[in-house]
Amino acid sequence: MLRFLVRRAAWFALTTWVVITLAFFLLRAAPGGPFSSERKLHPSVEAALREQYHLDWPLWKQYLHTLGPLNLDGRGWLGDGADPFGGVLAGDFGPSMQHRDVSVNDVLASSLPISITLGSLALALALVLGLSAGVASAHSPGSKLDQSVRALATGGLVLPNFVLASLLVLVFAFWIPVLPVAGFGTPRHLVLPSLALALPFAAYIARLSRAGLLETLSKDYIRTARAKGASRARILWKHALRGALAPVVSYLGPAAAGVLTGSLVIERIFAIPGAGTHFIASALNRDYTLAMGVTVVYAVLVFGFNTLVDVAYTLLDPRLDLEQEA
Amino acid sequence: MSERSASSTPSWFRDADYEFAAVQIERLRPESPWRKARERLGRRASVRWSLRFLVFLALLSFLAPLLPLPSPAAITVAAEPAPPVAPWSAFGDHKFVAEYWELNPLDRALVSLRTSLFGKWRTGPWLGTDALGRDVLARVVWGSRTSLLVALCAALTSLVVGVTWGALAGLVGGRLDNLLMRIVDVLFAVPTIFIVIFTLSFLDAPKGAVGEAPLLSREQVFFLVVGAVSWLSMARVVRGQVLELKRSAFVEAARIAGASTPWILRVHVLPNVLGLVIVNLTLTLPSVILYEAFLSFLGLGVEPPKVSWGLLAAEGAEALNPLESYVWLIAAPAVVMALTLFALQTLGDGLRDAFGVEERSER
Repeated sequence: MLRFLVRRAAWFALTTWVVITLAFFLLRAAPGGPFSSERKLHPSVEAALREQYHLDWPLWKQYLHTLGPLNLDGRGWLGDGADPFGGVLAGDFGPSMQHRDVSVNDVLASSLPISITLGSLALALALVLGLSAGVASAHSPGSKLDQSVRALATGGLVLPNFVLASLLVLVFAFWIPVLPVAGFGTPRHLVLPSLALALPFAAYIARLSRAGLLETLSKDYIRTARAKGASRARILWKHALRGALAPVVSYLGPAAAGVLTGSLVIERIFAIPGAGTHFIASALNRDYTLAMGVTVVYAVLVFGFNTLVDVAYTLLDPRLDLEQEA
Repeated sequence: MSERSASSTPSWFRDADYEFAAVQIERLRPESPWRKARERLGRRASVRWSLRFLVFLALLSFLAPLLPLPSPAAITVAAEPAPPVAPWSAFGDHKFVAEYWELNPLDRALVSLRTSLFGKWRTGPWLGTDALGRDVLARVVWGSRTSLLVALCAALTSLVVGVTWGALAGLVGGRLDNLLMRIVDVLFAVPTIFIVIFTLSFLDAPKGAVGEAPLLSREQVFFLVVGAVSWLSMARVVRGQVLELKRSAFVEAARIAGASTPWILRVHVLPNVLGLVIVNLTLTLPSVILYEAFLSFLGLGVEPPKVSWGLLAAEGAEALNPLESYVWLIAAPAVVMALTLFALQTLGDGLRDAFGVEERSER
């Protein structure tokens, strides 16, 4: 386990470095800059701004300064006492170039918790809905319940999540006005967004768990358990589910990445002030520092979650060896 | 093969024996995986209908300029979207104006053929019109071209890049395998949406920086990007399968029997990989079409006046409000999209069962 985590940490470092480098050079290669907006600035003002954000430096120096953790702006390698360190590797993304007088860390601190709340709620919802639908469906294959679960799961897989979100809003906010249309604040505001975000993943989890359960239920050890007189429910929950969960658990990694991506859309539809709204805006506005911050945070989240999933995977199936998997 | 072995048989081996053996061999010869798959596939009505639907859709979208539809881009001043009209109450009129975005020569030829065939006749607003008076049916048909083209593009990339990459890694093995697969691993860990948004935003030059002509049009980059992110899982799947085949008993047997490497590749490896590739391809297409919709919703897809299903659905979703429900604006693209994805999924599931590939989550 320890070796696995060490190798994973090495991978993590490499991936983060690739993400930072890609984001840095792709952003710098894009035409325009953070200060070439519709209101043309006076050249001297623009030059001053560029100097303030070190955009007048050569590219390699900007890159090293952005990467950190060593300071290159002449205040000593480790920064001065008031503002120690700097750079992405030290967890300091610097000042935002579009939101004046706000640091990227502040922007992230105010918006990220919202996104994480929404995302984890959606993931939990997807897991609960998908698993219960899958189990109910596999409990009596071919029944009315099974057929309707499969039809619903297909419905969740063939529509884009913003269409699902609009349908939910149409039904639960316009026709039967029980939930708010948009906004953020109370738990009631979270119901529709997290549901819209969760449904496609719930549908896929239902499919996976149904297929996994049906396969496991045909195994010899299930027949043995049945022969020994275990009840149907006990066999399903105790014996079969554990084996059937493996594909679902390994899907959770891609699902978490998908939830993050999907939240870009859902946050826009429901006007939720999460990190997703900053993501696209910062890339389009060439807000170099904010775009870098959001990108790195998302990549770290996805990587961390994938590692968690791999650990959970071995807990579920002791035959797997993490040292080989890594 | 048969003559040579017949002539070299010793005299005590009678012809009748030889014939019996030949019949036995023919009877016991394993059926080709292709024929088996085709038979299994043809038995399912749902798969047959999905295939028919997809072929119909492909034809429809290719022949869109030839059909007597209203122009998908012609704007008429209308106060608000008009609801659908049944074909029997308003079959068509003679008010067609050929107004399109810049078309390629083939489509222009098709459009002129259409005007000479149908004149100014056009179908009525069977699926209603949008807020700018554009016919929804025409837009859905024209929009299918973008969505299907994106899917095709992704399919080609994952076929060319993904299969080559995976096959190379699996076949050569060793250091090269390690290198190629680590690259795939890292790219998998980089959330693809960043690459997509960054690359697409290159072309979205801020208003201040006019005059910098982009290297590629936004649409071309859009296609490239979608292709570029869709080959990773294909590379992994192909490599896994090739490795498995390399270690399998029948390939070893062929090698011991003296078969050359090209022969083994062509006869033993390729057919066994192709099934998997096709299955993976049909299961990638729905996610690519959904991805197009996602990007269009964020305003990163094709640019108006061009249309795509994603753009139509996004417009429809924005037009929903509690006072006036313009439901047809979202229903039309949503229904065709759902039908297409459903057909693709049914086909993919059918192919998976036919080729006996297990369901795995894409990792």
